[in-house]
Amino acid sequence: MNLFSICTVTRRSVVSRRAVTRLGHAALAAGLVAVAAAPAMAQVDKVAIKAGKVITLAGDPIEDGVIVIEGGRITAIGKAADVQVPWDARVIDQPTLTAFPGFVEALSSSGMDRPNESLDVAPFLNVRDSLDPVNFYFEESLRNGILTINVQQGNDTVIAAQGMVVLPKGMMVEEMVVKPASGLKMSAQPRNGKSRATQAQALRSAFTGLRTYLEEMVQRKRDGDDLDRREALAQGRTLEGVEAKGKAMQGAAWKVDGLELVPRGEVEDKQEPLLRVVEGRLHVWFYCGTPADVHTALAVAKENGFLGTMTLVLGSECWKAADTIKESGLSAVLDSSLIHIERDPVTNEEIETFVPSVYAKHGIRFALSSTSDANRSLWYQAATCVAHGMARDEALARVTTIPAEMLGLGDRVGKLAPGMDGNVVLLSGDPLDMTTRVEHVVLRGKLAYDRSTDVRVKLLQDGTQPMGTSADEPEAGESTPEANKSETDKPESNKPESNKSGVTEKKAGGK
Amino acid sequence: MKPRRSILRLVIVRGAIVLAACVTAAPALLAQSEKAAPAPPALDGAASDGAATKPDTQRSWTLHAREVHTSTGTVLENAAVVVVDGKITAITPGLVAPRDAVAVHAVTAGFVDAGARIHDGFASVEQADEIQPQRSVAITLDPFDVRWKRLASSGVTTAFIAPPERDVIGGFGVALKTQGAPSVAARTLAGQSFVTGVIGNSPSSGNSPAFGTPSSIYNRRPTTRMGVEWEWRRAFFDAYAATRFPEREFAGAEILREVLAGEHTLYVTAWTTADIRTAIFLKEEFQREGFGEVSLVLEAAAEAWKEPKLLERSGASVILPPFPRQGRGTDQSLMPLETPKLLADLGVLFALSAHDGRDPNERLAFQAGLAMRGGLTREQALVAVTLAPARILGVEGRVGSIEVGKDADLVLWNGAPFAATSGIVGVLVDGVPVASLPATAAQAAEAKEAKEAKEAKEAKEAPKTTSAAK
Amino acid sequence: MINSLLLLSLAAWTGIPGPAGVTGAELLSTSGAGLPSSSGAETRATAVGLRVGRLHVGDGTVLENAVVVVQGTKVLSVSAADGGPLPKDTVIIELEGELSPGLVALRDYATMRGENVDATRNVMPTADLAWAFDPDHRDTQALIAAGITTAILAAPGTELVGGLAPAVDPGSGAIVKRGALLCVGAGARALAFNRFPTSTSGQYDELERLFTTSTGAAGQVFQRAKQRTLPVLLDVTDRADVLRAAAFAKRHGLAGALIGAMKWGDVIEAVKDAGLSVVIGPIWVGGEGEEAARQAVRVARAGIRIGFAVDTPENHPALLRASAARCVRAGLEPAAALRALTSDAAAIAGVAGQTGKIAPGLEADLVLWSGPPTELTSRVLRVWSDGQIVHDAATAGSQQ
Repeated sequence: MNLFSICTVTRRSVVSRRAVTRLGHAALAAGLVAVAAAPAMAQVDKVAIKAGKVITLAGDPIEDGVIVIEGGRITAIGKAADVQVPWDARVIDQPTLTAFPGFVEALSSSGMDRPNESLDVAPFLNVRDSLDPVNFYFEESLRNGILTINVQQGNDTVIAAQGMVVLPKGMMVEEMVVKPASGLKMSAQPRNGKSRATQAQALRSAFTGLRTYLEEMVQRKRDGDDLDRREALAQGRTLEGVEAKGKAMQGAAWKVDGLELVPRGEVEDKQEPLLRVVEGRLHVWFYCGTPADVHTALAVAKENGFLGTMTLVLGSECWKAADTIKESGLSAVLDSSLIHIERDPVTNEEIETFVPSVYAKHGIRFALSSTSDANRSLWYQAATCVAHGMARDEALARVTTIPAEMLGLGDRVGKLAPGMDGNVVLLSGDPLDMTTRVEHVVLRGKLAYDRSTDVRVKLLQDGTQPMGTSADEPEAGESTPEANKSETDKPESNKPESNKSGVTEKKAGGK
Repeated sequence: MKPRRSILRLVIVRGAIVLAACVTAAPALLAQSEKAAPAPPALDGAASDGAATKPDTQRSWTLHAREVHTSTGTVLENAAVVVVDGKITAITPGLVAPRDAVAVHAVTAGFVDAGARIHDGFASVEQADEIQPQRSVAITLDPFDVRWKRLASSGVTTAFIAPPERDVIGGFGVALKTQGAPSVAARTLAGQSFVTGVIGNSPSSGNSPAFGTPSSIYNRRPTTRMGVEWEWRRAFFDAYAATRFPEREFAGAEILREVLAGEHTLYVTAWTTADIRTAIFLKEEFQREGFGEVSLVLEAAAEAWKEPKLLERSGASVILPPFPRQGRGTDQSLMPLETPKLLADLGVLFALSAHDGRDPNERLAFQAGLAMRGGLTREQALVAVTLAPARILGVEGRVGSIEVGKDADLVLWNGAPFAATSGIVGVLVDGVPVASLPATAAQAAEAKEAKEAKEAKEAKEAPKTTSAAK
Repeated sequence: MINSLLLLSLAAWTGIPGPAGVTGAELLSTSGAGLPSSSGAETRATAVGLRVGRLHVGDGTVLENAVVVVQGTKVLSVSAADGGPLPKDTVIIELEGELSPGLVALRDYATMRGENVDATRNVMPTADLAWAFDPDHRDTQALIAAGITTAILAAPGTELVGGLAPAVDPGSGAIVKRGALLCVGAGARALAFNRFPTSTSGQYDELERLFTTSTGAAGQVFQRAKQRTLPVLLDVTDRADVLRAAAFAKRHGLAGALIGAMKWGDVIEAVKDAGLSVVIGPIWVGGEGEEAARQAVRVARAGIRIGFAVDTPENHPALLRASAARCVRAGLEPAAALRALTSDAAAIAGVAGQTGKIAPGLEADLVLWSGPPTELTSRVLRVWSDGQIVHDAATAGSQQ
């Protein structure tokens, strides 16, 4: 909640009216300050969205529906006749538009200043430090109706930073956070300079390094050495509480003898995220570029016990490992190239495979992800699946409810239902239609995007340059040779016929 | 009185018959609308559900679609299209799908890409000299290139190939079918002849001044866009001057004179406003010499929408390039989504193009969809990829629309054409399928019955357990 | 004198050390290799009869227990076991193995010291590549050891018109025929980035111009080609090149062969229609090689004459026979494969009157194999060139 949003939302506020009539300007100022400083105590923001059609993804679409959002959460949703709109709610009335839950981006490495670090193993880093709220990517996401984004580092890594789920709007990272610790990114695909063997070795040695570290800690404890305790205190880590006892380290896949002697808080920052991974408390997003990488990823996960808290991120060639993936029971996020093209080395023919069909046939649970190209965003990925035979509801689920569940936010985003976050996209038509636009976006009950004021979209749509950016072009004809024959001399064969439809009327039935 | 009454009786009786026919046909039609939804084949042409037709040299088919978009302004409903020996012989609306007809949701004419770029790269443009009007790209094309099949699978049945953008005047382009006999000559369509060239930077890239660089054939003009325009002007001027001073004759001069006389159309690649203006000014400059009418086609003219007056004056047709990412393409040319609509409103004859269509997401059907996103109606978008480019190329007698007598170049869809949720499920070129075709109405009905029977059997036998959701 | 000569020749053929500890083989082989066949002892040479269990004539005929009589540089007669009487004083040598004509390699760069390509000009219709032939070059021995007794020394396909290729005999060092073939680069290899032609359109426009408007000595070369007295070797790379080259050859009435492509599948009709032969390039092991072998078999079965070439020293000369052997594995009849290596290849090169078969009147270019020549398990035991032993596996070093 920030001052900006307060100023733009005009509503009949009980507090401000009383302030004006009873206490005067000073009290008004105090009241506004109070509202600004302690929103929880002041009036809850209420918004009612009326749309010609509401697609909830939690049931049938509702004609002439209403969604009531209070305090950033949906409190009621249904047909206009059935839902009581609070009298003090701001009403967004759009009878021509379709309301839709925002798209959910299961995994994205855009929005940071660079997608990867040069370090191979850096689980102690967090994307909150590299995420750039004003990055063009977030503006584009909002424009395309993507309202929940799992920002993770890119694929050029061994073990990368921890990621987070964010909203695509905010001036500071804290304002954007939806879920702060959404997992750790790993990659089985050899990063630059590495071979398959050295990549696998790097993955494994990160975990053996953790084990060695813990064993040494145990040894130090047995020797009565309190080096770790002193270091932890110096770094300000908590040593008291339940977490502090070694109890939190139960359930690790591989046991380290005597680990219960070590308070949790003494584990250093560099190793702690990996320890959480091994305990199954930190989700892993494991990238595989080729089918062979899938085996590496599964092997590393099995050896270190985090197979149950892992999601595969698959490059387009990995459909060849569909059997293995199915056996493992894991879910997957597909990268944006849904059509895999390869060339037969003997016949030189191009073979195209539509990847989602393969996974669907194997019964593998997967979500789609998109590129940052406006014309081919998540709606397009879902529509392409429909074009290749997937059922519409299933395709829509793969860009909304399924990624929401994968992120552990199935009860907050991806659907429109009471209790979910107040994130609503107002579309000019069907979500999978080529001509549909995002007209408005409401994020947590606040109007976050309005297409009519989007200057950049106007440039892309009809070429209108933003004011002050285009040089005035001379009128065609001023400094050009005169045309003295254009009207009369055009021979019939060159007469341009327009592309207007209905040029010839041909009745059915042939000649 | 008597004749009128009998006529009335006649009308009533006939009306009753028709009504009866409709009543009996209606359930079949309604049932048809549920049955005619075949499983789209996988993109690699493999049969799905065992119901797709194997590709062979069969050239006669009956197709049935809920919507037949003819490109001539009409959409026929529940129409059957009959193909015999590679030609369309009949189009009949208002029918139930015949049992042996390939049944799909929609059929459109095969696309015509007037700016396709399937060629041999540098081997397709003679770079020993910048002015090579006498060359022809046809002999450089490889009929066995696997990319033809890629192009054809994307719905493009006729393509116009120009020499790559490396020569100022590169020579003749050629319009040909994307599939057929393994011979460029056999696939070539006789239409308008085009002498192609480029205005812009690309011919000058690779050239360097003669001083300070190792000697090669690239030590020459032009090295800038200004030099490119100079080459154009010089070539046409010398060709014209050679009529008075024969010693100035050069290889290709005769062809340039034929261009000035209007026998060949000038096909100029010009991306930006500056280049488009140059092209039109040059046309007007040489036209004034009293030679004849130079006809002009502007290719990849992304910014043509910025020069409506010049377009109208010159009568030029426009071939648009693929929509760029974030609105800006080659040479920073700005091509907003509404470009096709702006040209349509101006009354300019224009076509869309997908260039080489390597990216499966950027092919011609998608370009048409984007044009709709930019405001074109479906009919306008369809014309922009079928009849309009056929007209520009002068091959509308054979291709570009679904009309009796034209070549059986057809694209089959499993939904409304160009919708994001629609896929191309079959393509015919001269009546020959590019890969497999979807099932016939009979096969689809059988498959559906078998599936329903199987499901019913399973429901009876197995206890009802809800399987894990995908 | 004559008796000692007789003894020496006997020694030579059998390898038994002759008088004075010098083996006749050494004596005659050193005098045999390297000398042009035109200068030889003109004294009436002895007739030597080579009797062998199997003799492949080269045209498909196989004779059992045959005797081939060699006199001087030529073959005098060939007869089977019950054949006619032999000339008197014929020395009979018994050989173990199978005899075939010497192999004909239809394109070779061996011995030319890299001087078969001009860096500045790519159109040289009158250039005589025989000038680049170096009979003393070390490549010669490798050719001979592989059983190759005739090689066409051609320009590579990178030249638009590379010149006139001679047929040479590496064993005797003789030039069998000057200007046997005209080398034309009709494929993508002839295109360059930095000189004309850079494109196929420029290439064919230029070839058209050369063949129709050339004058002088160059004009005569092209005239002879169009009159079919000078066969043309057209270098191509893929099926599109083949179509273009075949159409060009047909348009100008050229005779000759296409060389350099691996795939012939859909264009066989066009090749037949143009009346051209096909030279099969080197066939290696592996999937691609097997595919190339299958394609070669298809060409042969379509009735097109084929030959082989391996472009030594880019490839080892032994690959010539191995390529044919791989075609046999892919289904080509052994007799047809051997024909392709010998008599058909000689016909393509226009030297069928001199070599390519074991027949009376032709040069005595023979190879003794340890088994069937088109089996990979057989190896070269001995090679005769113009009647002289030029290679003997027993005494040679580690060749092959």
